[in-house]
Amino acid sequence: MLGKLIKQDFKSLSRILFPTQLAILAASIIGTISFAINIRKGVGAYFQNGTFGIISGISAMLGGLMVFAIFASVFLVAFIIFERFYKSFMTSEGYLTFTLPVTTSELLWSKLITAMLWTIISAVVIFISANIFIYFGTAKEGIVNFSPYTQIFRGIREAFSELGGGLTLPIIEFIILCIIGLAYNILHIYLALIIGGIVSQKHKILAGVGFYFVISIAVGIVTSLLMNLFGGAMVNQLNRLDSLMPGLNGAQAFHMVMNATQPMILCSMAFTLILTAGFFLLSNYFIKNKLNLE
Amino acid sequence: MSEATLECRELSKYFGPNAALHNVNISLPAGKIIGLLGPNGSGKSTLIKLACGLLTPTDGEILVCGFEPGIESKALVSYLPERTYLPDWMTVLDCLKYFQDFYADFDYARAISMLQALSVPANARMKTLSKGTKEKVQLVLVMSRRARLYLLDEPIGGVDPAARDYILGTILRNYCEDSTVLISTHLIADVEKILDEFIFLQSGQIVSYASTDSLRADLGKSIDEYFREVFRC
Repeated sequence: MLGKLIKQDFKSLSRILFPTQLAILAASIIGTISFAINIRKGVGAYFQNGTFGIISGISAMLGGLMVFAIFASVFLVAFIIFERFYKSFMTSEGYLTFTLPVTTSELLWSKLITAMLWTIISAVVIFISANIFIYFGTAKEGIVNFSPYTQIFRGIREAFSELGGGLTLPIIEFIILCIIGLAYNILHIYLALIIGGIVSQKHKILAGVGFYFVISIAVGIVTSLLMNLFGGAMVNQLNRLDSLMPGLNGAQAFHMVMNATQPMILCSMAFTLILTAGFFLLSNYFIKNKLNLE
Repeated sequence: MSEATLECRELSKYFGPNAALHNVNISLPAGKIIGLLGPNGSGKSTLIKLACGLLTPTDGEILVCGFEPGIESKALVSYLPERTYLPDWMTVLDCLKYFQDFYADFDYARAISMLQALSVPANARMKTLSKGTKEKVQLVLVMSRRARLYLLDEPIGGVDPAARDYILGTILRNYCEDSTVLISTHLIADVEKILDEFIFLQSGQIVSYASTDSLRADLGKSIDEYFREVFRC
């Protein structure tokens, strides 16, 4: 049943989000073309009279529009994800959602997985747009500009040849942190909307926004308590590094910092994971026991 | 062993200090069409919502074919809420496929033929349909399932009298011997011809549960007349 829920949720999000992603790609292509025109003619072109000046002006505007479209898309994706969640859980659509022969945790998993998938898709689309721009939009001569990539690839090669397998762990940790962080942020808003919807019958969304901050503050208090209790050891260790650092080469310094920060990274990973699981379990509890649709 | 389709044991539901249902005990058999009747705020919708798992009881328990509200019970219950609840961006056919996806007992062919009989455009988006037509779509979806328990909350409130007759006919035709239909409504005169039994609910408590025939035989009254007598303002 989870598969079917994911299919339906994905469909209801894609209906709106898929066209917006196409629009972002189109905007980035238009922006890239206009930038490519301007970079060839120089900034002075804006101030020329006649047709060419107008074309330059318009293409500069299009470039600005591209940047705006990409920023707007980030908010739109987030808005649509939470709007869909709110509608199918808190409005009359809930009568359909909560009478399906599925468990409430399956409903939550489906909403979480589809939200994460769409966040990742939109991040990939923005990444592609940015690369279209760098690759085609920044060449002063010829059609493409490969030099930024040459530099990036050289940097990556150097890092791997010097540090070798030492990079595997931080890369894996980074990916895991991103995934947990994404789930954490989505569930934070879900939980706030659920509590808001239960507490208030008239101003569900407003109450949801309020509870978002209440949860943030609660998490902040717990975090700073833990930091006070356990953070001291970490600071001492980092201070000790200061005196050792000067005698080391790059690779040695890297390994030393990595080793010193590992406990901190693993602790924060575990802490975020526990909070994320807590958000999930609380959301599940509230939906199961406290839900009261209008 | 004949198991009750819907059973309530000392069932209570409170919203804060207010009792929506108080100590309800009832056992509904299979194969009957039962009217759930009572004035506004008597707890009809609350009882139905408890049975389909949209609310959790404050006290006591409610069982559908022996199951507490959960996946097993929801697969057996076909629920028609008293409001329009389908996503407005879906087409009528999308809704049919949605039901087919989630309910193993959904009869797609039957749904299509019912839509045709009620002349509902299958490719139209829900948001383009009138309120009455939306209600027809919902009723088609709900009655196209081969469920054990149909919970119909005000199924005919928003449709014209001609459609009412068709809908009541549909309910009569489509429920089978081992399923129970529980209809909550104010339009008693319209539905009483298809009711086998009726429940009167007042202030969250059952005041009467009897068969339509015995009411006619013993008191010589229709349910409508009896209702007006019991709930006189």
